[in-house]
Amino acid sequence: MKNTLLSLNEATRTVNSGSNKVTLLDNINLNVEVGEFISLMGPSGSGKSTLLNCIGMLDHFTDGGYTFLGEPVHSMKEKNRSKLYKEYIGFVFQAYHLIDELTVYENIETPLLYKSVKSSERKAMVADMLDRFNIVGKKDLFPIQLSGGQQQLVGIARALIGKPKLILADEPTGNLNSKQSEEIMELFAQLNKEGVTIIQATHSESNAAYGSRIINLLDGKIV
Amino acid sequence: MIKNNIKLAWRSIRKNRLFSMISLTGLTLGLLACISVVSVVLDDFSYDSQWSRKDDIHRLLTNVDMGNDVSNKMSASWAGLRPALMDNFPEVEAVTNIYTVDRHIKKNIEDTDVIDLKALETDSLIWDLFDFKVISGNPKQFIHGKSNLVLTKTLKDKLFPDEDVIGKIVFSIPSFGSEPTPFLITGIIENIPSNTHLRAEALIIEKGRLEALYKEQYGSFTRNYVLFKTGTDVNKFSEKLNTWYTDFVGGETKYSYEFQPISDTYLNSEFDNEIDIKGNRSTDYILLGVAILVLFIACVNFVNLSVARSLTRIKEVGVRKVIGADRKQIITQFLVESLMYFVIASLIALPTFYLIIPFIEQFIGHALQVSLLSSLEYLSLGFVAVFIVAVITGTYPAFLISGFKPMNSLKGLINKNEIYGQQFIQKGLVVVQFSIAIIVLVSVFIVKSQLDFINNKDLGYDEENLLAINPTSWDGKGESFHKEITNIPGVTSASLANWRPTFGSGGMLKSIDNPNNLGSKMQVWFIAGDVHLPKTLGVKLISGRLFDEKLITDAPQSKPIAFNNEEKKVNTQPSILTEFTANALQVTKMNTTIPELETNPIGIVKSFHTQSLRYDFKPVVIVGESNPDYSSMLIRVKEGTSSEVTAKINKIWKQMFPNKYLAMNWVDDLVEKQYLEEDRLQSFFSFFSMLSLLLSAIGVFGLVAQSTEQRIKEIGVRKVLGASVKSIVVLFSKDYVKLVAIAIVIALPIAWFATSKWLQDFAYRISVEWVVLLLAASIVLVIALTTVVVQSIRAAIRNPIKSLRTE
Ligand SMILES: Nc1ncnc2c1ncn2[C@@H]1O[C@H](COP(=O)(O)OP(=O)(O)O)[C@@H](O)[C@H]1O
Ligand SMILES: [Mg+2]
Repeated sequence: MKNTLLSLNEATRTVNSGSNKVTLLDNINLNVEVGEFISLMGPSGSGKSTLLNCIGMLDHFTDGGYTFLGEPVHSMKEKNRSKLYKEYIGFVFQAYHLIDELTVYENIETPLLYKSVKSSERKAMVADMLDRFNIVGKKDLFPIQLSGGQQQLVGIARALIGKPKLILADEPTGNLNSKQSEEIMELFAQLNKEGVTIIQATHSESNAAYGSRIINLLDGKIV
Repeated sequence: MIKNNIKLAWRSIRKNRLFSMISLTGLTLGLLACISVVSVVLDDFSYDSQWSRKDDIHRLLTNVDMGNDVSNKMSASWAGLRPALMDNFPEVEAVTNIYTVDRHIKKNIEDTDVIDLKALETDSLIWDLFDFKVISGNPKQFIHGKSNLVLTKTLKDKLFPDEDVIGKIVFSIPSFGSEPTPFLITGIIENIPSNTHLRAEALIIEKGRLEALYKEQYGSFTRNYVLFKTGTDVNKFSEKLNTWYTDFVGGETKYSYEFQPISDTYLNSEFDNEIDIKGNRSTDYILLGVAILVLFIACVNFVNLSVARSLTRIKEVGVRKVIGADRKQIITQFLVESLMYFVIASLIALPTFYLIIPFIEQFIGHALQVSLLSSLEYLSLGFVAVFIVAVITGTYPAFLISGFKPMNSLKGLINKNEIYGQQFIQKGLVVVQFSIAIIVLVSVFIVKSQLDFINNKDLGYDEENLLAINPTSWDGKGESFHKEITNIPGVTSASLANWRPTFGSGGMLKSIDNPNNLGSKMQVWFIAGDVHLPKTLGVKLISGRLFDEKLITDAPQSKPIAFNNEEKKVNTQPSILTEFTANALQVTKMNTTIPELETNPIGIVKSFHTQSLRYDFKPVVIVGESNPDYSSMLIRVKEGTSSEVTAKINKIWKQMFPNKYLAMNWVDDLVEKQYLEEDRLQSFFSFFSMLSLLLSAIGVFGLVAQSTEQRIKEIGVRKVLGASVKSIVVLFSKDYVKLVAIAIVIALPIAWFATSKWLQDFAYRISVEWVVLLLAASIVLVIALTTVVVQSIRAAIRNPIKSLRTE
């Protein structure tokens, strides 16, 4: 039985740039089932990041419908939207976006703090995550003391700690060498097997191949 | 979460050294200033509130109706009111007389050492009013036959360290009266707290006066302190007393009475020229205001720097939002960080305050009985206040930074409007800060100029090299003592007179019809002195003549003026008028009797300032009087002979009055003493203006440091493109010059208004000159500019390649 995670219905994103209206995303129709691993592909500027941000509720569509787990996101109050977001979505960035002032441990722990998870539970969850990603030894280091691949591992661990249903990854390997990229993709495949839905934006055919479905974007349209 | 926030805040404080140093220095100084001033003010407001019966203890004040709607308030009242109050009014529990006096004690009669002490001269009933704690002896039991002396612990330890002194007799050397008075030490009490207008080191307990209240309205005055039964409505009671008194004297009286709560006496005694221990409410408010301004400047620094710095943390906030933080959580984080700064600043300021208490005590001239540290209540109130200030201060930066959209902040894209608003507020705050600095600086200049003006103003007599001996009884030896003094080589002249400079406008007062305004009254003061008085004072003759030594009529032996209207003997004694008096009385011709004053003016002298320049001239008439029983003495000394002369005077005094204390002052010291309050205010202002300037400067320094830091790349690019150091400095300085200019425009009118208002307290005052305003403005401008220029030069001379590479 298929289980829809989210669906976009003629979703459109426009911005006003001076006096003209620029369309960044143009009538996107998309259904994402639970357990899918989707790769978004397309040239630079085609709208991949914009689409991920809108799906991730960091940005919003200006027109069309967006339903997430049966709930109409487009007509939702900001407060409920961020509740939904906090509970179900994790983000991974090309530039990692770790907090420089925090150690590896603290970076991973922070989302739990924002969710007011109890201290003992937090400790266990972070320990699990460190264990799983094999970075226990690095837990007290600061981001600048890590390689890019290690930083991205921390980034993914941080995205996963809240047990999201959906991971949105915007060119997660863009700053990594091919060996590191492969490791990250293996990890994604593994996570996907465990039931996490993943949407990643990527330029790389080989990365895209890890996914179960490829969506091509061009000038804000699915092609 | 909070624990985490605190950890984060601590890291952030440690990471940004420059910012943290500047912010902490500013906040610490601001808090320290506030803690100190608040403590001084708390102490001032705590006076006489420590007595357990404080609500029931009142001082009895007399209002004397001088006619013409003028009334004179005094802290003395008929001695006879004491038995009258105690016998006729059940509301009154006890009445005691208290005078604060200086006494001079010899431990043994043959000693030459004299110990000065401040004591309360009173009677046994004082024990009913005030809870002095007895340490040893049984001083509450009055021992008849002698004055009983009760020492405070400190005084006992100072005078008789390891001695049992109860029952010992010491001797008081009087200033008038010729024999030493034996004092019997009857007890030792805990120190009298310093926050009472009855501050003293000892109690001298006398048998107590037993004077009756006279229907004829004469008698002697004393200071009555009344203890009411708890719950008495004192307002009602004073009405009752006034009605009773009017009835008692037969229906007509110029005296009426009011009761002043004991806790009010310290701050509400402007009318009372006879007590030294009194505070000034408006000075307290000025102090508080200035301290709050300094703290405000420090907070403005903090806000500005936090805002400037938070712009570098926009990305961090974006990330936090992406990983699930909502706005409230971000605001909390930044608020906690701000709070941490205040906590650290408080933790530095409090012990520092503790260390500087001795300096503060030296400044205010007495021990600080109450301070912010003296009760848990005050301390926690203080912390609550700091907390509120911290929250207010931290709120703006926290709201600002938490408001950016996460995606934009991740990309480093910031809405122009948000930035514009922020810069507008930041600039506004800088303007406010500099305005305050300018206002305080102008105040320093004005207070200083006014004090210089007062110190240099020609008083109309020569206050330099002039000695004044306190009023004393001469025991018939006045003339011969005068002769001995005049024979001292360094003495040019000396005079026995019933008035000393700064002690009121004269020795006696008469109310006459005002010739300039028919139907109204005029108060004329009389100074009675011997023929040498005008010369000794150094007043300047304008017309007519001064007293003549050879004319016996110039200074008759008898009392000069008959003040009792009933024995109207016609007496047209010669007198000297001041110019002001001559104008007020419309006197143009000499030797024409003024019947109302029963005097015959023989000369007019230039008006002289009998008291502080706060007050205008008063009508003053100098009349001659030889060989008074009781008077002061003024002694004119040749320049440079002061020490020989004072030594000689002491020697002559010892010979002629061996058992009497010589109390003598230089008149210029007395004159200066009138401006103690202003002197204090001036040192206070100087200190706080330095502080506010310093804080404003480091605030701007921090801002410029932040903005050059943020624009390092821009500076690098500009330099690569060929910009000179000068043009870069101009680029950065321009804005600040504009801000200081605006501050000047705002601050100068306020400063002008405030200082003019302060000056209005003085009958003789400087005017607020433009030069002073401009000087203050230029100083602030120069300081601001120097700060900006130094900082931007530092940025501009950095190697452009280096700064570009760091990006
Ligand atoms: N806030 C915005 N205002 C105007 N144009 C934007 C904005 N955000 C993105 N764009 C434009 O939208 C297009 C799509 O951008 P993006 O989604 O980042 O593409 P991709 O991630 O595929 O490279 C680009 O041309 C970009 O310049
Ligand atoms: Mg992109």
